[in-house]
Order: sequence, then structure tokens, then C-alpha cells
Amino acid sequence: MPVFKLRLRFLNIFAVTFVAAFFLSAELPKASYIQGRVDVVDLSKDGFKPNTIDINQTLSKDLLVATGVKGRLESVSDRNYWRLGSDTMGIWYSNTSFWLQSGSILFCSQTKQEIQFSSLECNATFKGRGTIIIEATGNGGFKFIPLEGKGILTTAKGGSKEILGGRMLLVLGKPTYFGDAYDIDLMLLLRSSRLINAFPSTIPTFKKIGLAIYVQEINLKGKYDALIGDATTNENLQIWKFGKNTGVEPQNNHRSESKKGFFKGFFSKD
Amino acid sequence: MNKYLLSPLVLVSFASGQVNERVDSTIRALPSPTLEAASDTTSAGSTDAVASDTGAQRPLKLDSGISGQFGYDSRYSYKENPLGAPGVLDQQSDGVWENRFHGRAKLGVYDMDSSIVTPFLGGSWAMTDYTYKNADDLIPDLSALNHNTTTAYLLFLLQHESGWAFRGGVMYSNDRSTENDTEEYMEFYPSIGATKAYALSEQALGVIDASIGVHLGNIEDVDGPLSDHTDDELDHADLTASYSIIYSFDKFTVRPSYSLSYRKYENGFNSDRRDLLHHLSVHLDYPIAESFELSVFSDYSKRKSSGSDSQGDPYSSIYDFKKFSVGAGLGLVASF
Repeated sequence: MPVFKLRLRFLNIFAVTFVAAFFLSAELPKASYIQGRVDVVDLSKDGFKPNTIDINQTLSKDLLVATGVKGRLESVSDRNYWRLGSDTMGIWYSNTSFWLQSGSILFCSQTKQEIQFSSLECNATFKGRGTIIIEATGNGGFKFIPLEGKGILTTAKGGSKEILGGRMLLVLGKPTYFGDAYDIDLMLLLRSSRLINAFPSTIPTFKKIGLAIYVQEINLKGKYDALIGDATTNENLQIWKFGKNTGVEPQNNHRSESKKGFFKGFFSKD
Repeated sequence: MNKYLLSPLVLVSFASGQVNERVDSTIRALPSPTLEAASDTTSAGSTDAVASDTGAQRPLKLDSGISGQFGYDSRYSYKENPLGAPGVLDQQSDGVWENRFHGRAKLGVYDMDSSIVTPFLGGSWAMTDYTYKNADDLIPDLSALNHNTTTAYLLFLLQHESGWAFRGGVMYSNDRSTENDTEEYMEFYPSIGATKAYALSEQALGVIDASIGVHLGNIEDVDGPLSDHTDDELDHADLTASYSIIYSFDKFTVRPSYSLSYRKYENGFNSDRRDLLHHLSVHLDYPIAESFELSVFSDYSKRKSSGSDSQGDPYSSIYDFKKFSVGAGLGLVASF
């Protein structure tokens, strides 16, 4: 009988350990697609030694992930979809928490989640679902660009803001607050974003992004001949004016352009 | 003997009789904002930006509340058989000048998760003038048929994430004689429809559209109670399917379109009448300025009727027609 009890206890411990390990590993993303050079540095070990990432490698909170000039990484799990752009550095503290040092990432979830995005200076919590691009800015904050989705973004000092497809929020400062919000051309973003287009798979929320583009189209009053650049400081956001004859110039003034169509751009293949 | 005798007395009666045929051959339909949006796309391409990981961030000016647009267009066309009449009258031709003021308000945008609902309230006022006088024509001067058309509509547009757009609404339409200042015809037209646009190539979109509705109208009963004619004899249900291609090059947009409409009449003289209406058209649009557009267009229609009236005469001898037009116009639209 003691032998039997011992075996039972051993089985219980094994089962608990196995289940815990299963759920712990489920919470951590894995590198499911790699393009170009992508390195990881194990911060739990002495010395800053980069190693090439392996496919299906678990991206634990001790691993600093860094992509090269043409390097990209994708992590797809049951619930979340992550993409790292080129020249990007960051750490997954868990499948619901990402720290972005530089570069840009895409997060996509079809179910309601609570995700923490942080950068050198800032921290914000997103509750909801959607397809979101996060781009680190020079001031240590980041741009929060929802392509589609529903939910709220909360910061320590700025409170909460409801997200809207195509409305970019600037996240700044420590403690974190919101800067200005800009409605940006989703169609143009979609067509020019490598986080969308440079991966072999299609993000699952593409139809919802199409709907967000449609909403922009029917609400459209005009387009500014300008492009938004980096937020170099909390007070300064680069806006680059472009014109038919002048090419790209720093901002002087804005000129609106007539309304363009929804379908042509959306269904174009480039 | 031909049913249209060339005596002065008969010619006088033509004017009133032809109102019926003109009204009956007029295509009235709820506007399809989805098709219009697809057509609007062509005049200028999106600004191309250098690709980056995040993508280009171009600021927009948006208005998510109530907004509207107001427009005016004027077009002149040569029309063969402008009345859509059968027999010898289909040799009639005229120069027709149409001027139209139109407006539409978007009453908000409602997010239903997998679809977006947008109500629209709109209307138009159009003047149609027959301008050409030709002594050799059966009716030398059609100006007695000049009329003004007023429309008003309430439309709900549901854009689904699948790409299909569904619409439902009701339109009121009214024709008034310019010469006599009398109402020639009025109708209510509740209908539903669906539209889907898809890419055929880099420059071309294909647009599928289908709709079904019921025309509930009232037309002056010129013969009084002594005949089979009634004021609701033009009431009918229609089922229409169409296919359009929207092709853009440089700033031009070409839109060939074909539609097939099945119509079923039940009332009065037209009980047991069924029509098949084929409509083929091509439009070429060129934006002269931001809200100013030049259009050249041509269309061809053909109607085949089946069934027979109470006397046993086939409807085909009364209602079959072919008509053709070619013309050009200018359009101006302002948004607010």
C-alpha cells in the first residue's frame, strides 16, 4: 500500500507539473515564421551574446529579440497574432505583454484580450480586440495605430480612450499620457505597410480592416498632402508636406485633396 | 392599317397617350451608393508612398456625423424613340436636354460589428425638355411632353465585411407636365438590393447588382371608366440584375453596364403582362476639376412584352420597343 500511495503522489505531482508547464508554455509566443536575420539575446545569462533565433523557439521574458535590416518575425498562437518589423528590438514578457525598444510591431486578436504595450518611457494597456500597429518613437513613446478593432487604451496619466480604426494615438511621457490623435489614411497604410504585406500569410482580420476603410471612405472630407513622421520629442511631431511639384518638404501648410474611392484602392493588388 | 393614323385629330391625342408610354418606359430605381462609390474611385489614384514596416501615415479630414452633398448636372442627348413607343413611333427622334439638381444627406454611420449601416435621405428635381422640331417626324414637336420629375428617397445601406452591400428603402417619384402644370404620374417604390464589387485587374472593378421592388403608382386615366385602362395599370413588380465594369486609365473612367429586368404587371389593362427589359449602356467620365466632371454616354434599351389584353391582342404589339441615345453632360457636386 505505501508503494501504491507513493506512486499516486508521484503521478499527481507529474500531472500538476505537466499541466502547469503546458499552460505556461501556451502563454509564451513562439517564432512561427522568420525572414532575414533575427537574433535573440538571453538576458538571464552573463554577457550580451546574440544568437540566431530558431523556428518554433519560445520567446521567453529573458529573450531580447532583435530583427535586422530585412529581418522579420511572426508568432501565431491560438489567440494572438504578432509580427515584428525590421530593425526592431523588443521583449515578450508574456503573450499579453510586449516591450518595444525600437521599430514596429503588429498585434492582432479576434477575441477580447488585455494586452500591455510598453516602450522606453511609456506604458499602456489595451482591453479589447483588433489589429494594431505599434511604432516606437524617438521620444521614448509609441504610436498606437488601430487598423480595426474595438476596445479601450488606458494610460496612467491620460485615462482611457476608445480606439477607432484608422485613428492613431500618440502615447507619451512618464507617467504616460496621450498626445494628439490623427485620423490616417488606412488604405494608404495598408498598401504601404510591410507588417501587412511582407509576410506570406494573411492576417485573419483583413475583412474587418476593409470595413474600417469603408467607414473612413464614407466619412471622408479630404486628405492632407502630408505624411506623419517621428515624434522626436513630446512636443514635436514631424509632419512632411508633399506636393505635385515639390516632392517631400517639411510642413508649411495643408491642402486637402478630393475624395477618392473605397473599392478601387481596397481591391487593387499592389 | 396602322393604329397610328396621321390625321390632325389623332396627332393631338398622341401627346396624352404617349405620356403613358413615356412613363412606362422610364427606368426608376433607388440609387445604389455602393455603385456610385465604386465609380468615384477612378478619377485619381491613391498617392503612392514608399513602403515601410508601419506604412505611410497620411492624415485625413473626417466627419462621422450627419453630412451631405448637393449637385447639379446638365446633359444633352440625341435620342431615338425617346418615348419608348412601339410601331411607327419608334422612328421618332429628338434632342433631349435634361437638367437635374440632386442632394443627399448621410444620417450617421452605425457599427454593427460585422457590418456598417448608413441611412441616407435624398432627392432630386429634374427638368426634361424635348428640343428638336422636325416636320418630317410623326410628331413634329414633342415639347408638349416636357416634364419635371421630382424624387425623394429614404435608403438604408448595409455594408457587410464580406464585401456585399445590401440596401433597402423607398422612393417617391413624381412627373409633372411643364406645359400644363399637371401631375402626369406618381409612384412609391419600395425595394431591396445587393451589390458586390470585386477587382478584375489593377485598373478594373466588376460590380454585380441585383434588386427587387414594387412600383405602386398612379397615372392619369385618359380614357375614363369606359375602358380597361385604370390609374394603377402601370403598377408592377420588378426583378433586376446588372453587371458593370468600371475601368480607369489616366483620369478617365469607362463604365460599360448591362442590366436585365423582369417586370410583372397585374392591374387593369395590363393584367397578365410580363416584360423583359434589356438595358446596355456605356459611360465615359473625366474629372475636369475637383468637383466638376464631364461625361459622355450612350445607352440602348429593348423591351419584350408577353401576355395579351382582354381583347386577346398580344401586349408585344403595344409595348415592345427599342430605343437608343447618345449624349454628353457636365456634373457638379459639392459636399458639406
